Amino acid sequence: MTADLYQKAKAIFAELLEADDNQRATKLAELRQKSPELEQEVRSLLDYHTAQSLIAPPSTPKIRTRSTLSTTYHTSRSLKWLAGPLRGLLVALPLFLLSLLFGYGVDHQIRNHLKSSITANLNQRIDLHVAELRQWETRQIGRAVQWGEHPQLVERIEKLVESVRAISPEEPQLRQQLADASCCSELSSQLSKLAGRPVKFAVWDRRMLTLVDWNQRQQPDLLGAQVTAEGANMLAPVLKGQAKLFLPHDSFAITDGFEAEKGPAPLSILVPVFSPHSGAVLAALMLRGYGLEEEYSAIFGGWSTISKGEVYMLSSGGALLTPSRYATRLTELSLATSKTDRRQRILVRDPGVDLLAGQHAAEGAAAWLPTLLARQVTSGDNGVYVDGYRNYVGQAVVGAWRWLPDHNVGIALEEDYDSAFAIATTARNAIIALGGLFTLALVGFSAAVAYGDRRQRLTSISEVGPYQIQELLGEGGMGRVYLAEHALLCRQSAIKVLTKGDNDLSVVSRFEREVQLASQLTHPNTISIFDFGRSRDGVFYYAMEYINGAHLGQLIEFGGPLEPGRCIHVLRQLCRALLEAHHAGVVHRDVKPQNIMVCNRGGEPDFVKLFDYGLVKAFAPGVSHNSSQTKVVVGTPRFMAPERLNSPWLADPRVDVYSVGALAYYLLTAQLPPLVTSGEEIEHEQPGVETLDLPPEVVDFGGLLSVCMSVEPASRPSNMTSVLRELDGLAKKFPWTRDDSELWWSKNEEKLLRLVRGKRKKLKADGDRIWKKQTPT
Amino acid sequence: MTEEPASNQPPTPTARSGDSAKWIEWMYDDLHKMASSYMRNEQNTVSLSPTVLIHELYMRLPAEHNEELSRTHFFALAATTMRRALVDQARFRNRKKRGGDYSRQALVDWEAITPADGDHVLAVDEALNELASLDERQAKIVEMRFFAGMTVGEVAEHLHVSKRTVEADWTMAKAWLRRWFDDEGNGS
Repeated sequence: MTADLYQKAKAIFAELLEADDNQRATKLAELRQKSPELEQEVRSLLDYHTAQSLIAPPSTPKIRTRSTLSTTYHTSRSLKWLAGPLRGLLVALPLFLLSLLFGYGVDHQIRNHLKSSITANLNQRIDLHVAELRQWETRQIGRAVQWGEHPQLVERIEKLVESVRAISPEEPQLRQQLADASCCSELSSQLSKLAGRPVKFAVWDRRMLTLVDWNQRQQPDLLGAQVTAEGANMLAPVLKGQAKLFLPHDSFAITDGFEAEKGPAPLSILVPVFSPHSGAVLAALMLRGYGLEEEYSAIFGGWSTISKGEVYMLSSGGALLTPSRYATRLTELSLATSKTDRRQRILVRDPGVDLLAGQHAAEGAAAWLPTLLARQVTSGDNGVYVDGYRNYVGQAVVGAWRWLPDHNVGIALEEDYDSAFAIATTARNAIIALGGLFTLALVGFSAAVAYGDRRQRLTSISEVGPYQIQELLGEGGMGRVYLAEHALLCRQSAIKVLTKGDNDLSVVSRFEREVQLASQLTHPNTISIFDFGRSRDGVFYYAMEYINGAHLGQLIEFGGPLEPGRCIHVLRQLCRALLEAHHAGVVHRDVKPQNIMVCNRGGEPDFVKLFDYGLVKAFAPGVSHNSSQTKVVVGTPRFMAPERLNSPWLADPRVDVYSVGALAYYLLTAQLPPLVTSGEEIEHEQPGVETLDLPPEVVDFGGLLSVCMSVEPASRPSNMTSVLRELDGLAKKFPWTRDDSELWWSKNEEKLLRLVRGKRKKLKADGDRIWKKQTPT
Repeated sequence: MTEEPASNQPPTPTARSGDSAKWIEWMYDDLHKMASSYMRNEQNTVSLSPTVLIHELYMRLPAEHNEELSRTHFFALAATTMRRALVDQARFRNRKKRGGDYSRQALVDWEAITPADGDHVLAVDEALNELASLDERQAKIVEMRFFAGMTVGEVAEHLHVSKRTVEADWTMAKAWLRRWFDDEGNGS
């Protein structure tokens, strides 16, 4: 595609843009006849104009084959994420998840172990309580049975039974007979003697008529009275010869019309009285009130004090039979109570919320359901539950329960869920804390390692390869230059260390190329490269000779413009160095005052050394390098040939010619050369000698400067040889001898070097190194 | 960045010759800095577009300069400078790729291209260089629109051509660029 063809295509394109499809087709068909190439171009552009979005399929990225150094670097680049700021996160995240999983497993284990141990513990305890209760019951019954077999007592009861046997319950004679009998007081004194304290008692004959009652004087109606249905149930087994203990009950009235005294629910023992002659049951004797209730509550009290939880009895109706642990707070808690029971017993029901914590149940107590334990135990179940449920005040508890069928009551043991699992909770917290600490420590550690690693590599390098770092000399776009000493040779060298983008293949290869090309140059005015390598810390470096002098910027700052003769002396050395480079096929491309050192050494005053081939570029095919495609524009616009601004990849020796001209201007006038661009707007505005504004004494340089600095590369001297020839010609006019140089250095060397050292001290370690202004001061 | 370089004063009116160079020099430093932080996409910098950056620069221009340098001329100069600054910056920041070998698979469509992406800028730069060899004015128009966000009217005013011409050129250049990216994307 040529510009000519494109212009033709443009005209047609503009025309067809407004045309409709038919017109387009016609026009294109016409065009195909005339010029198929043009038609294709226009059609293709029109197609791309119509297409709103065209998605290009991804192509495989181009992979370069590189020298060994870079290839190995390539491999390490795949691990680059390890060095990045994400490293801590990437390492910590899986570890965090792993510790989370581990923690969960451990926690689960602990809980399972604890559950089985709590289960065993609760079962053991409730069984112990039941056993204790049974033991006490047996003992009390045994005692009562003994009393019931006392001969005098049996004799007295037998007499009474015989005396009323023939009298039917309906006859009023019966009550009279019973009231008159002295049996009650005799029995009372007899039993008191046996028990050691007053005993409450009553006697029923086989017809279940009340024969004696300890309180018969106050309640004479009871004598000869019939028993209640419940009373009949209680008496029936006793009259068959079985002694029984009755725990505090919902109701306690054997005889019809009996009214129990106020106080705690009574606990009674019923024993049969046997006829000494026939061995048949004569009557049933009830005994109570001799401290049974107290003993019974003492047992519960004992349990409650040794247990962290609560032990209580509950009836088949789910009512609490023993005093509540929360007795002091009952009024404020407003628990469910039994409506039918005159004692207003608490119902073991689940309020749904934790009342102790001050929460209020959503529904009234009437709607509450029995607690899990109450449900289980009242259905006659023995069991244990350790996964937590709400008790009758709404607290999470674990519990065990036993049903005592002979007493028709349940016994329950409940313990706080939280305190039961306190160990597990502590363990869980410990696991979480440990896991958190572990993760934090890991993140911190890896961050510290990454940070420290980088810091150490960048700032506090003390050793690079065989070199001992002594002092920071300068800082460039890609790295720092240090004064260093070879550990074995004890030779002072300047070490350039790559600090910028050492993970970056392009930077590393640029660095590598700089060394390779520069080390091919052997001219005395070009700095010599000693060594190139990568230290154990992975830092790329190269060593070059150390010049104890000043760069041209510092020289001008120190002494103002150079004498024309001296300027020629310096430029000639520079040109010879560049000449060798150009002959070797490389262009320096960054000739500027900061890259040229002047020194007095080996008896050579005003000796020039050109360095920093960072932008060096091969232009001859023989020295072609893979990386010659690099298009990075780094440089100082003032000393940069204008065409380089537009085509940074340009590698023409005349680029250096321009820079030499600009440098000459700078040395002669101590002024920055004008910035020249070659944009289209300013093509008529070539800087000529008149814009260069030279001082009268160096006006002779005008010709050389204006040709060297011309915008058009073609107008410049084509090579360094021509420049050198020009300089030789001028040298005749401006003589400069070795003595002149020596005189200057003997006068100024110390002061100049002091200035340079002062500059080094001020060198800032930080800041925008790449783009900081590089204009000489 | 805190230091205020001496050259950071707008050029004072002098002889007409060399004006543009001075303007470019004055702009280059600022635009370079802007492009640098813009591409770094730093958290603390507001994400600005090159157009905004250029406007900001224009605002800083003392009023008395408006006479010697028209707004459109300023923007046209700034477009060139911005392009250069961005390209320089992109090359430097282009970590993964070496030289001109930026990966082209990332280029989906010319329309989707932003000057924030180093790859995009480099590709656009290369495409524009090629387009300039075919039709300089079209390349210039794209540059002004893409890098300085100039309107068709502003471009027309600057180039002293009709808006219609600019529009036609712009349309064709877009089609050409689409095709270019498509060809490049398909691996050449």
